[in-house]
Amino acid sequence: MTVRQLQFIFLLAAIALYALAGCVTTPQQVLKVACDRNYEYATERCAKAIADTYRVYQKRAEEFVLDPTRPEKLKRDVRSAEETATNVILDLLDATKAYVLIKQDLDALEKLMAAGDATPKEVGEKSKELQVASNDLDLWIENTEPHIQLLIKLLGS
Amino acid sequence: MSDYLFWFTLVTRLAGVIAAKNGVAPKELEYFKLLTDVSRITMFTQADLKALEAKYEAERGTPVTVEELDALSADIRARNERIQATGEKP
Repeated sequence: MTVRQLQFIFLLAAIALYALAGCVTTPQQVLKVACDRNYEYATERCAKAIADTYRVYQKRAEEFVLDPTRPEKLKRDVRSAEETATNVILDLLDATKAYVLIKQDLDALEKLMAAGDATPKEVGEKSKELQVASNDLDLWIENTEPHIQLLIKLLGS
Repeated sequence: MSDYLFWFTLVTRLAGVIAAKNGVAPKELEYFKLLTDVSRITMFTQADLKALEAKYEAERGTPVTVEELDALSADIRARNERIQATGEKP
């Protein structure tokens, strides 16, 4: 096989990869579907989708660090990025859980209020609590993106 | 998408084998290995992301349960422990 033939194969491969790049599913596409505010439960679904998407890359990270052919320095970088991202994602899941529990309490209180067993004040206070938890969750959602991006960058290298 | 990548992986691997049989230098063969490797990783990632997109599309408007969140946390934590355990021990 000549150098010219090799170059031709690589040119074809590059064109194929370029073409494939046009129809890939990106993490952003997954989140666009999950975070669609036109549907109920979008806040918690969005947070869960971030963790689910992260898990896809965490699985790749595990394969990466177990691969004996990968350079040790890169493995160290992947392990470090994975550790930081995992902590952020676990905090995000804790915040999501807190939000879901408060929402369940609020639903129960509203039913009790309808039956005359809870006061509007109690419901109002729970609503405020839910608003605080929702703001917290939005902050966590914003925080996660750079960590996932770093891991994607490392695994793509 | 994953079908295309499957064929792409297969073609690059075959091209690598043909190149090796035709006396291409080992250094050049490394490029084939790299291409195959990159497409393999992309293929699995793409399959997972596509499945997630379909799952979230189908589950639109449904609530998230505490049990689901706990299971997800436990899985992520367990994998994190396995990944970190592969590092050098201090």
